[in-house]
Amino acid sequence: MTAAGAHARHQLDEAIHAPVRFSIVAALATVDESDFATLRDAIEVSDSVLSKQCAALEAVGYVKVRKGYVGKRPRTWLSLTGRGRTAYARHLSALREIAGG
Amino acid sequence: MTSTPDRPSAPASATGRPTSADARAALAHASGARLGTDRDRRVHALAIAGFGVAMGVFVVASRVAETTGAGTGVLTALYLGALVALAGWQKRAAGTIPRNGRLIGYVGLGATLALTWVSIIWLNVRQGDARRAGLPDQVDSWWVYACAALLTALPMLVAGHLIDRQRR
Repeated sequence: MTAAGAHARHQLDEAIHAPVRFSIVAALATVDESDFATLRDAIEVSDSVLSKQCAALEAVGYVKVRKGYVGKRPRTWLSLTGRGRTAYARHLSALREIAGG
Repeated sequence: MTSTPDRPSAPASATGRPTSADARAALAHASGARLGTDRDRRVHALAIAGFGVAMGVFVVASRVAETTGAGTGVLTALYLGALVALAGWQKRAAGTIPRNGRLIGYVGLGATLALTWVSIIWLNVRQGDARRAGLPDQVDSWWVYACAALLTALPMLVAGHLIDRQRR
Protein backbone atom coordinates (compact mmCIF):
# COMPACT_ATOMS: atom_id res chain seq x y z
CA MET A 1 0.00 0.00 0.00
CA THR A 2 1.28 3.46 -0.92
CA ALA A 3 1.58 6.01 1.86
CA ALA A 4 -0.91 8.90 1.80
CA GLY A 5 0.32 11.69 -0.55
CA ALA A 6 2.99 9.52 -2.15
CA HIS A 7 1.01 8.57 -5.25
CA ALA A 8 2.05 10.38 -8.43
CA ARG A 9 -1.43 11.91 -8.78
CA HIS A 10 -0.67 14.07 -5.74
CA GLN A 11 2.22 15.59 -7.69
CA LEU A 12 -0.13 16.82 -10.44
CA ASP A 13 -0.41 20.59 -10.47
CA GLU A 14 -4.02 21.72 -10.02
CA ALA A 15 -3.37 24.99 -11.84
CA ILE A 16 -2.17 23.15 -14.97
CA HIS A 17 -4.52 20.19 -14.63
CA ALA A 18 -7.57 21.65 -16.42
CA PRO A 19 -7.63 20.86 -20.18
CA VAL A 20 -7.50 24.41 -21.52
CA ARG A 21 -4.83 25.50 -19.06
CA PHE A 22 -2.86 22.36 -19.87
CA SER A 23 -3.05 23.24 -23.58
CA ILE A 24 -1.94 26.81 -22.88
CA VAL A 25 1.06 25.72 -20.81
CA ALA A 26 2.02 22.93 -23.24
CA ALA A 27 1.93 25.37 -26.16
CA LEU A 28 3.79 28.16 -24.36
CA ALA A 29 6.47 25.68 -23.24
CA THR A 30 7.57 25.33 -26.89
CA VAL A 31 8.35 29.04 -27.37
CA ASP A 32 9.90 31.95 -25.49
CA GLU A 33 6.86 34.15 -26.05
CA SER A 34 3.66 34.15 -28.08
CA ASP A 35 1.19 36.81 -28.97
CA PHE A 36 -2.35 36.37 -27.74
CA ALA A 37 -3.93 35.76 -31.16
CA THR A 38 -1.39 33.13 -32.17
CA LEU A 39 -1.94 31.17 -28.98
CA ARG A 40 -5.73 31.57 -29.21
CA ASP A 41 -5.76 30.20 -32.77
CA ALA A 42 -3.37 27.37 -31.91
CA ILE A 43 -5.41 26.02 -29.02
CA GLU A 44 -8.77 26.90 -30.59
CA VAL A 45 -10.48 28.85 -27.85
CA SER A 46 -12.24 32.18 -27.75
CA ASP A 47 -10.60 35.42 -26.60
CA SER A 48 -12.58 35.38 -23.36
CA VAL A 49 -11.70 31.77 -22.51
CA LEU A 50 -8.01 32.34 -23.16
CA SER A 51 -8.06 35.60 -21.25
CA LYS A 52 -9.73 33.99 -18.24
CA GLN A 53 -7.47 30.95 -18.16
CA CYS A 54 -4.34 33.05 -18.63
CA ALA A 55 -5.42 35.27 -15.75
CA ALA A 56 -5.69 32.15 -13.58
CA LEU A 57 -2.20 31.02 -14.63
CA GLU A 58 -0.85 34.53 -14.13
CA ALA A 59 -2.33 34.60 -10.62
CA VAL A 60 -0.26 31.57 -9.60
CA GLY A 61 2.84 33.00 -11.27
CA TYR A 62 3.07 30.51 -14.15
CA VAL A 63 2.37 32.90 -17.02
CA LYS A 64 3.66 36.40 -17.65
CA VAL A 65 1.43 38.78 -19.57
CA ARG A 66 3.08 41.68 -21.37
CA LYS A 67 1.12 44.37 -23.14
CA GLY A 68 2.60 46.49 -25.88
CA TYR A 69 2.01 48.04 -29.26
CA VAL A 70 2.92 47.03 -32.79
CA GLY A 71 2.58 50.29 -34.66
CA LYS A 72 -0.62 51.76 -33.26
CA ARG A 73 -2.22 48.41 -32.54
CA PRO A 74 -2.20 47.05 -29.00
CA ARG A 75 -0.83 43.55 -28.68
CA THR A 76 -0.62 41.17 -25.73
CA TRP A 77 2.30 38.80 -25.34
CA LEU A 78 2.27 35.70 -23.17
CA SER A 79 5.13 33.62 -21.87
CA LEU A 80 5.76 30.90 -19.32
CA THR A 81 7.70 32.03 -16.27
CA GLY A 82 10.58 29.97 -14.87
CA ARG A 83 8.23 28.86 -12.14
CA GLY A 84 5.66 27.85 -14.76
CA ARG A 85 8.23 25.79 -16.68
CA THR A 86 9.30 24.03 -13.48
CA ALA A 87 5.70 23.30 -12.54
CA TYR A 88 4.97 22.00 -16.05
CA ALA A 89 8.03 19.73 -15.98
CA ARG A 90 6.95 18.36 -12.60
CA HIS A 91 3.40 17.87 -13.88
CA LEU A 92 4.65 15.95 -16.93
CA SER A 93 6.85 13.86 -14.70
CA ALA A 94 3.84 12.91 -12.56
CA LEU A 95 1.84 12.08 -15.71
CA ARG A 96 4.66 9.83 -16.94
CA GLU A 97 4.66 8.04 -13.62
CA ILE A 98 0.89 7.52 -13.76
CA ALA A 99 1.05 6.42 -17.40
CA GLY A 100 3.73 3.91 -16.55
CA GLY A 101 1.93 2.55 -13.51
CA MET B 1 -18.30 31.03 -26.52
CA THR B 2 -15.97 28.57 -28.06
CA SER B 3 -15.62 25.30 -26.28
CA THR B 4 -12.77 22.87 -26.67
CA PRO B 5 -14.51 19.61 -27.52
CA ASP B 6 -11.70 17.98 -29.47
CA ARG B 7 -8.92 18.84 -27.11
CA PRO B 8 -7.04 15.89 -25.67
CA SER B 9 -7.74 16.44 -22.04
CA ALA B 10 -5.60 16.35 -18.98
CA PRO B 11 -6.41 13.58 -16.52
CA ALA B 12 -9.82 13.74 -14.90
CA SER B 13 -9.36 16.19 -12.11
CA ALA B 14 -12.88 15.80 -10.80
CA THR B 15 -12.30 12.27 -9.62
CA GLY B 16 -8.76 12.97 -8.48
CA ARG B 17 -7.88 9.56 -9.90
CA PRO B 18 -6.45 10.03 -13.36
CA THR B 19 -6.05 6.74 -15.11
CA SER B 20 -2.93 5.73 -16.97
CA ALA B 21 -4.90 6.18 -20.22
CA ASP B 22 -5.73 9.77 -19.19
CA ALA B 23 -2.08 10.38 -18.42
CA ARG B 24 -0.95 8.89 -21.74
CA ALA B 25 -3.45 11.06 -23.64
CA ALA B 26 -2.24 14.17 -21.85
CA LEU B 27 1.40 13.28 -22.53
CA ALA B 28 0.63 12.68 -26.21
CA HIS B 29 -1.07 16.07 -26.34
CA ALA B 30 1.90 17.72 -24.64
CA SER B 31 4.45 16.14 -26.96
CA GLY B 32 2.41 17.21 -30.00
CA ALA B 33 2.04 20.80 -28.82
CA ARG B 34 3.79 23.23 -31.12
CA LEU B 35 3.22 26.95 -31.26
CA GLY B 36 6.09 28.48 -33.20
CA THR B 37 6.17 28.19 -36.98
CA ASP B 38 9.04 27.89 -39.44
CA ARG B 39 8.11 31.35 -40.66
CA ASP B 40 8.49 32.83 -37.16
CA ARG B 41 11.90 31.22 -36.80
CA ARG B 42 12.94 32.50 -40.22
CA VAL B 43 11.78 36.03 -39.34
CA HIS B 44 13.81 36.05 -36.12
CA ALA B 45 16.84 34.49 -37.80
CA LEU B 46 16.80 37.06 -40.62
CA ALA B 47 16.20 39.95 -38.24
CA ILE B 48 19.10 38.97 -35.98
CA ALA B 49 21.42 38.41 -38.93
CA GLY B 50 20.21 41.74 -40.34
CA PHE B 51 21.06 43.57 -37.09
CA GLY B 52 24.57 42.09 -37.27
CA VAL B 53 25.05 43.10 -40.90
CA ALA B 54 23.77 46.61 -40.18
CA MET B 55 26.21 46.98 -37.27
CA GLY B 56 29.11 45.65 -39.34
CA VAL B 57 28.34 47.94 -42.25
CA PHE B 58 27.92 50.91 -39.91
CA VAL B 59 31.32 50.36 -38.26
CA VAL B 60 33.00 50.39 -41.66
CA ALA B 61 30.87 53.09 -43.27
CA SER B 62 31.35 55.46 -40.34
CA ARG B 63 35.13 54.95 -40.57
CA VAL B 64 35.08 55.73 -44.30
CA ALA B 65 32.85 58.74 -43.66
CA GLU B 66 35.24 60.07 -40.99
CA THR B 67 38.21 59.61 -43.30
CA THR B 68 36.60 61.24 -46.32
CA GLY B 69 34.71 63.88 -44.38
CA ALA B 70 31.34 62.67 -45.69
CA GLY B 71 28.18 63.24 -43.62
CA THR B 72 28.38 61.01 -40.55
CA GLY B 73 25.10 62.48 -39.26
CA VAL B 74 23.18 61.22 -42.28
CA LEU B 75 24.90 57.87 -41.98
CA THR B 76 23.95 57.55 -38.30
CA ALA B 77 20.36 58.51 -39.09
CA LEU B 78 20.22 55.87 -41.84
CA TYR B 79 21.71 53.28 -39.48
CA LEU B 80 19.23 54.03 -36.68
CA GLY B 81 16.39 54.08 -39.21
CA ALA B 82 17.44 50.65 -40.48
CA LEU B 83 17.56 49.23 -36.94
CA VAL B 84 14.12 50.60 -36.07
CA ALA B 85 12.63 49.32 -39.35
CA LEU B 86 14.15 45.89 -38.80
CA ALA B 87 12.90 45.71 -35.22
CA GLY B 88 9.43 46.80 -36.36
CA TRP B 89 9.32 44.17 -39.08
CA GLN B 90 10.48 41.48 -36.66
CA LYS B 91 7.76 42.42 -34.18
CA ARG B 92 5.00 42.61 -36.80
CA ALA B 93 5.89 39.56 -38.86
CA ALA B 94 6.28 36.94 -36.11
CA GLY B 95 3.57 35.75 -33.75
CA THR B 96 5.99 33.90 -31.50
CA ILE B 97 9.56 34.14 -30.31
CA PRO B 98 11.23 30.74 -30.83
CA ARG B 99 12.39 28.78 -27.80
CA ASN B 100 15.77 30.15 -26.64
CA GLY B 101 15.61 32.68 -29.50
CA ARG B 102 15.86 35.60 -27.11
CA LEU B 103 18.88 34.16 -25.27
CA ILE B 104 20.67 33.30 -28.52
CA GLY B 105 19.96 36.80 -29.84
CA TYR B 106 21.27 38.54 -26.70
CA VAL B 107 24.43 36.41 -26.64
CA GLY B 108 24.98 37.22 -30.32
CA LEU B 109 24.40 40.92 -29.68
CA GLY B 110 26.83 40.94 -26.73
CA ALA B 111 29.51 39.23 -28.80
CA THR B 112 28.90 41.58 -31.74
CA LEU B 113 29.22 44.62 -29.45
CA ALA B 114 32.50 43.22 -28.08
CA LEU B 115 33.81 42.55 -31.58
CA THR B 116 32.74 46.02 -32.67
CA TRP B 117 35.36 47.37 -30.27
CA VAL B 118 37.92 44.89 -31.59
CA SER B 119 37.21 46.06 -35.17
CA ILE B 120 37.45 49.73 -34.21
CA ILE B 121 40.71 49.18 -32.30
CA TRP B 122 42.14 47.23 -35.25
CA LEU B 123 41.21 50.03 -37.70
CA ASN B 124 42.68 52.62 -35.30
CA VAL B 125 45.94 50.67 -34.98
CA ARG B 126 46.24 50.49 -38.77
CA GLN B 127 45.58 54.23 -39.04
CA GLY B 128 48.15 54.92 -36.29
CA ASP B 129 50.75 52.81 -38.09
CA ALA B 130 50.09 54.73 -41.35
CA ARG B 131 50.46 58.08 -39.55
CA ARG B 132 53.72 57.02 -37.94
CA ALA B 133 54.95 56.07 -41.42
CA GLY B 134 54.18 59.63 -42.47
CA LEU B 135 51.20 58.76 -44.67
CA PRO B 136 48.12 61.01 -44.75
CA ASP B 137 44.76 59.64 -43.53
CA GLN B 138 43.17 57.79 -46.41
CA VAL B 139 40.57 55.13 -47.10
CA ASP B 140 41.98 51.72 -46.22
CA SER B 141 41.91 48.66 -48.49
CA TRP B 142 38.52 47.13 -49.22
CA TRP B 143 39.54 43.81 -47.69
CA VAL B 144 40.33 45.53 -44.38
CA TYR B 145 36.82 46.98 -44.28
CA ALA B 146 35.32 43.68 -45.40
CA CYS B 147 37.15 41.85 -42.58
CA ALA B 148 36.11 44.47 -40.00
CA ALA B 149 32.46 44.31 -41.11
CA LEU B 150 32.47 40.51 -41.14
CA LEU B 151 34.16 40.30 -37.75
CA THR B 152 31.53 42.63 -36.27
CA ALA B 153 28.57 40.88 -37.87
CA LEU B 154 29.79 37.30 -37.37
CA PRO B 155 28.29 36.55 -33.91
CA MET B 156 24.85 37.73 -34.98
CA LEU B 157 25.09 35.84 -38.25
CA VAL B 158 25.89 32.73 -36.23
CA ALA B 159 23.02 33.51 -33.83
CA GLY B 160 20.64 33.87 -36.77
CA HIS B 161 21.85 30.57 -38.18
CA LEU B 162 21.32 28.81 -34.83
CA ILE B 163 17.74 30.07 -34.63
CA ASP B 164 17.07 29.14 -38.25
CA ARG B 165 18.49 25.66 -37.65
CA GLN B 166 15.65 24.96 -35.21
CA ARG B 167 13.27 24.85 -38.17
CA ARG B 168 11.58 21.54 -38.80
